[in-house]
Amino acid sequence: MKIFISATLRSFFNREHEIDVKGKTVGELLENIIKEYPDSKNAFYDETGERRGFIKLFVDGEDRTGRDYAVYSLSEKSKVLLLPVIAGGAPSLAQTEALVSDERRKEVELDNTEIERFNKHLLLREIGVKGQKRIKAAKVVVVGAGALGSAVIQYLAAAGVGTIKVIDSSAVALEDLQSQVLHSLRDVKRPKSASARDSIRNINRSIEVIAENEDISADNASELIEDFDLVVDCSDNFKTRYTLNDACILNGIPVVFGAIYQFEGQVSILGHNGGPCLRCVYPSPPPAGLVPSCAEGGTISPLAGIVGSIQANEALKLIMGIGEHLSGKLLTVDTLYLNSSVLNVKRSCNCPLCGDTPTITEVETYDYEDFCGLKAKEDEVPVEGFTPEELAKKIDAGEPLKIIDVREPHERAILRFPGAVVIPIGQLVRRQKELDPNIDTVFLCKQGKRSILAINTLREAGYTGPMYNLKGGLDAMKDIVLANEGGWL
Amino acid sequence: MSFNKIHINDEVLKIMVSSVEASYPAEGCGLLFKADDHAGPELKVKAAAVCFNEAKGVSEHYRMDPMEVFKHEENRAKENLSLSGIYHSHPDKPAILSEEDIREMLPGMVYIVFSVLSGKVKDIKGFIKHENVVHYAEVEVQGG
Repeated sequence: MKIFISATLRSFFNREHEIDVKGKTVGELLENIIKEYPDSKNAFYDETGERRGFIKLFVDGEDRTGRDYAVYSLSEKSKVLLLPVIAGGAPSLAQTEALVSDERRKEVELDNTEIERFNKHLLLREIGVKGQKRIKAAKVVVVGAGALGSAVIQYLAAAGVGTIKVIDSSAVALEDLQSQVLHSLRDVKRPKSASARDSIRNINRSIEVIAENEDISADNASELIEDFDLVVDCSDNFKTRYTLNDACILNGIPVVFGAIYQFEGQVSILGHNGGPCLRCVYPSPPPAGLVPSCAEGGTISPLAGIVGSIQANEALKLIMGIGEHLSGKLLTVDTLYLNSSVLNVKRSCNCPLCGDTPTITEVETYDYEDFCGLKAKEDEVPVEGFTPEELAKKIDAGEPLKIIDVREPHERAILRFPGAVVIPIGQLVRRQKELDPNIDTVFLCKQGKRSILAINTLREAGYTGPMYNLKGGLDAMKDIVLANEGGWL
Repeated sequence: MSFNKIHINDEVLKIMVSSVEASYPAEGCGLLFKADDHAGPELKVKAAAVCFNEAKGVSEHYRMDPMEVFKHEENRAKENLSLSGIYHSHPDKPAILSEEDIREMLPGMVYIVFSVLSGKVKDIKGFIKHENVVHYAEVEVQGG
């Protein structure tokens, strides 16, 4: 019986186009083929004796390869073909070429101290001297020297990144020390960027550190990241994230994105090699005030260390072009129940920034409220409010007031407002009957933003009673509440 | 025998490039042919045939129907051409072999991988598996 051999398989059959082997069934035929062409055993079976998937036996146009076909009868007229299965797949996670080119790598040298310092990197086959030189030549911007920034900055500095720019406009507060391990007690009230610079210098004096004590805005974003290889986003607000995303995409600089909330974290790589950007993954942020930021929602102390360390790891891999990374993927980690998953995210052709017909061509001043559709309409009644002092005076004077605390129950446990009725923002519309439209009602939350949203939500739902916002929220009134607690109860 | 360099002329390259760009965002694939009497360490690709990607629905995969491959082989044999390689694309991914690609590689066959970013070919790389080790094969494009 004549058997056609595909060119792809001829190396197993002495390069013959056609072989002549006898067999009454498929099983018998295969046995005889291997007997006559012993090399072909390597085509049919792998080293462990398992059948290989890439070779198929077709009889009269039908695949008869499976074990079930061993007894399939053949006639002399059967047209038997040995054909390959040609298949493959794209890399499951993206791999890439190094962000730092060979030319730049060759421009740097490692001295004896560095060879000693980075010994454990040099021992890794994937890193070695070449990889360490790339790290040294790399220029990285870290936006935010808070919780995520603490891990990112310290690990990038420890790994030997040659130039690190830290951008943060805030000062270290006592409450930051719970998760921002970059800063210590003596840094309280100092600018975070300066404290970060000192920490980096304490790790490695030869790193060039640029500390920028300012906010990212449309005016300065492109300038701040110019000539850098990579941006690590450790910011804590949507306005910075979207402005930074736009500047990076427009300047062709990839972003290692990281975010944390309570016990959960996310990491991704944006704007890299045609991958998605932040606007592809999250076309718009949640309405201002609806989702509490870390400052409002809280996070467990080590979470930022876990997520920030993954960001630093991704950054180093991108710099060296090793392994697979999170471009086009979103890693989510839940540290409370120890779940993690990698979700696929794709570039959106409708993205206004990196889609097929982009409408954003320069970094624009970002109007967060407009973007979320929250901007006050012209005919909208502005929300009236009391300052903490005004509210305290009214309570002391015994004026008829109803106070509604719209925070979540667990937030209330931190500081209760005496006499306040607790209605979390999500239940307000349903529970509006508990309000009295004949007396002044004051709404409060942690920072005075969610309470504005609460008032607007109730207005939309048709509630007509007088409503006031506690300006600055409980954070602003904390001292007065604590001083008066006994009296107000 | 193992090739260390792959020569492709403009015309054949055009066939491959337009087919993988057309199949974006799915993977595109096809076959490469050389002259029957060709010898030496440098492969000269004489023709390319576009194949149907059976795994189009499965994102990030390609698979060819063995019978379609056979028909191309049969037809090209009449022109004294023989199958010598396979090309496929990685949409929005770099032109490197995935683990699956390496596992499915047929020994002695040349593999050309295109990186297609946002619908346009951005990179092209050649590979060959010889005695179970994967080697780079330089790709050279010639005019005319």
